[in-house]
Amino acid sequence: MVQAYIRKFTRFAMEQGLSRLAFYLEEKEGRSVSVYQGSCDKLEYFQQAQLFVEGEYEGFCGSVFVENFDESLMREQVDTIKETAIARKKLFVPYEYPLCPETEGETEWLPLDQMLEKLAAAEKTAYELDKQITTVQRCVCHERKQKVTLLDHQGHSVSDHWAGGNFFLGVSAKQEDQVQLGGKGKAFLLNKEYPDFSKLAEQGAERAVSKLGSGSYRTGNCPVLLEPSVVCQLLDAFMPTFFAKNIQNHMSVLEGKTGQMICGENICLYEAPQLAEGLVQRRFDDEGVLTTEKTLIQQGKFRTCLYNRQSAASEGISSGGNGFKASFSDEADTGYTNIVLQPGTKTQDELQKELGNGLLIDDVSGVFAGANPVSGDFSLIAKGYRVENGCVVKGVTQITVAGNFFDLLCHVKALGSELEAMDGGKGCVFCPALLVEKLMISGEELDS
Amino acid sequence: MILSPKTLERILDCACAGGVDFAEVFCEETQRNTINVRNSGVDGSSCGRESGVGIRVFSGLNAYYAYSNDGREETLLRLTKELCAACKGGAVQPAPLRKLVDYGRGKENLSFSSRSYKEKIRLVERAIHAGMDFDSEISQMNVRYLDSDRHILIANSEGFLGADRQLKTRMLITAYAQHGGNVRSGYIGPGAMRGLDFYDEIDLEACAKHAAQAAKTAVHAEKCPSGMMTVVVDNGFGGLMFHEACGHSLEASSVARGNSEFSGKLGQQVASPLVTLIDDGSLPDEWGSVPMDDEGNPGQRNVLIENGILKGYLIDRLEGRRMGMAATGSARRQSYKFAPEARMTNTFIAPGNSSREEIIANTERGLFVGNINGGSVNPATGDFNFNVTETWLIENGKLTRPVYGATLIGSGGQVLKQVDMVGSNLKLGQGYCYNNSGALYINAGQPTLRVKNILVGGLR
Repeated sequence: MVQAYIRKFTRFAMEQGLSRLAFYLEEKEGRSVSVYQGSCDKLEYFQQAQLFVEGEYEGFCGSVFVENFDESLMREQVDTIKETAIARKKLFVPYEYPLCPETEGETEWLPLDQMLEKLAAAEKTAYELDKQITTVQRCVCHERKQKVTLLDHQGHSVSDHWAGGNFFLGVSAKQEDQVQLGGKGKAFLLNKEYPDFSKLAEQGAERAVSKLGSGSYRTGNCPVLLEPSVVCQLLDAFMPTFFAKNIQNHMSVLEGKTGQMICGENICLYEAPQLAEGLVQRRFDDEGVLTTEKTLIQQGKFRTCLYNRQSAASEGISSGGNGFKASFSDEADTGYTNIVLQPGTKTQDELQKELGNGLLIDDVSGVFAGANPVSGDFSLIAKGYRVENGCVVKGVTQITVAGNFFDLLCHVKALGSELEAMDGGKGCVFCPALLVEKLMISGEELDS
Repeated sequence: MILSPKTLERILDCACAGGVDFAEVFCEETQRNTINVRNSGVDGSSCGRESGVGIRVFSGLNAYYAYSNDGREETLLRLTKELCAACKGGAVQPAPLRKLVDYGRGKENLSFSSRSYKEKIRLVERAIHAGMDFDSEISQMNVRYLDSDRHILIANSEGFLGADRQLKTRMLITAYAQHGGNVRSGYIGPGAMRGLDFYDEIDLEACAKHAAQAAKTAVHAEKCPSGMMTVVVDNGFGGLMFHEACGHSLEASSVARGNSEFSGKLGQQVASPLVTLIDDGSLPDEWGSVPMDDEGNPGQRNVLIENGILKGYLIDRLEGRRMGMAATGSARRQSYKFAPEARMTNTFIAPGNSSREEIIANTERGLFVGNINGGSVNPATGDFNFNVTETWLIENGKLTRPVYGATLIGSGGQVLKQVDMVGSNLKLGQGYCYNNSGALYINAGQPTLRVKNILVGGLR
């Protein structure tokens, strides 16, 4: 249906005076299954084809997004392209069409009854872990297949497709009047095996139970061990610091720091588009530029930032393949594929021993409001455990952890050997645990 | 994508033959324009139509949902059958669709296309210039303009057929100030359920100057201290504190399964007697209003807490079944891509008797919060957090020094009881709320009020 629409639209738009066209087509279908008390309580299917059209009119580029493929709307769509072109006066730059052969294989998801069985088993595992588990609040698996195609009025075309999923289980546990929550999620690629939902359920339930009887922590600076999922959240929040556009617009603390030490020598950060475990599988970006491996931080030195075509052009260089859209309906901005904070060699036990006395943080919230990507400052609600002599002694809740992300990276004493992944929407980040010399903790002082 | 009554009936017939006890079709066609402008020029734009259909069926307390922007009847019937494959009930007969209830009547002459894209940019540039001219330390202005003209049509197996047209517009103005290597921002985001005449009535330049002043103050501010403090939250979007601290915990998606600290507490004292919390989707012209909610019920005024006593919840059709209670006109979704849930609309604390000046003068030491960036909550525990801006230290009853970088945390149930002064200057502020049924337009509001103890997570 959409291909036929594109052909008709091309003819109509050319008749109406548009000289060149570029189409970004996003096709996706998905399923979401949720289990509550052993049975399927929510089920969702979707199927979509969405189009973003850029057209050249009087030498300039205008755009419109399309979800309704009713031909009677073509005139309105062409008029929108013309109007935005004249108002914007932005030059039309055609997509690039790299040689990317069609990849084989149709990915299928599990039959519904098997998925329900897996989810029900995970839910049961969580309940059976401990009598103090009162509710499995969510036990859900989302699966999605997606295909991006770039094409133009001359018949050029290039496509990428991938399929992924996400499992999450969240529980509440209760002891007297105290309720604690725990959860565990995992994103995965559908061309590989599904993760072990029951094992994840056990870990999620364990998190809730282990926080029962928790208290606060004293206000002050304290040595902290950040679990990989927490480091992922922080890195994801501060990745815009590495966007060339933000540096050019004086909106990044990395402005003018290329080649300089911006963190400790033990920190290396790189982008790996072809990473086998990478949750983002893209050979080219949303502007048709090939995605490439690059080092952002090498032994503490800031090496390069992330360029899309526009930010690269303003420095007279080539795009780094980081032109990605936030949504099909937006112009391409900056994004990334798989960003890896290079792991160290320490096991979790070793890191905990090295921490000695301090705080192990395994959960933060409120990153979208409490982390400032311009300054690097953050202040977030957190949970974790009090560690004494290298051993966890008690859960900790109702505290905040605050600091500056780049200061934090200057004071990393050790890095864990295990990586955890998070797909935050702009791309995927992989991070190990970090043992940090100190961060500012705020808590109720009475419970010190 | 507005389907014909005949197609709607065929989808409902198909669903009801498949063993469900309730079926609903939601059609949406939304014209949406977004323009991002910096002081250096237009930075990006997104114009077009969001268009599609969502089909929802219930089998007892289970809900199944499918959506697509492929409006062909065969596609929609196939999706309906896939949903019904999971249902185990017997066939039922849907009621014939009744006469259309049109909540959008009277809005026929309103349109965002009456002004060109260029004119909208000129409107935005007024705010940019006013902000840049405010002070030499203002290094950058970013303004995001948006308008949306949303047409929705809902039909269900009980014979309901309803339509609405919701026009909304907003301008999100951010100013950045630079001083001594630091860059900090100030923000304001006026919006309404109005056409472009909204901008004829507000003082855009004053809004931009407010954002610029906030940025300039922040760039000279010191790090916020940490610890338990008395906090005075100013009127307006400061009401987000209650949106987070208790609003989400009063939504049926949390309450119905006992996953809220307020489950089973109707009629109990849950807050200070000074606190009356209202959610009102029927307010005319407000950013968070819903003339018709996304299940077809009219938006209404819901008193949630009255003088500290818990009076009600926000309830949608599905969770209403679970709770044995009626829906409250609160079912909302970002678009057809989401199944609806009970969500907040315009939520605010009713005014009290104190003045802002009295409240500050009566506070020996504490924190004054002028605005809130955003926050979140876990309804089961009530643990909430929100990040604050336009923040000052209060010393000996006076605002003394601006501070930055603070997040306030607490438990909803505790904070509600700690409110000890409520002002008379109620004001609403505009924002977004993110949850299961997507990003929604909401108002949060309150008069200036004081909370005796909140844990402040500062940078020092």
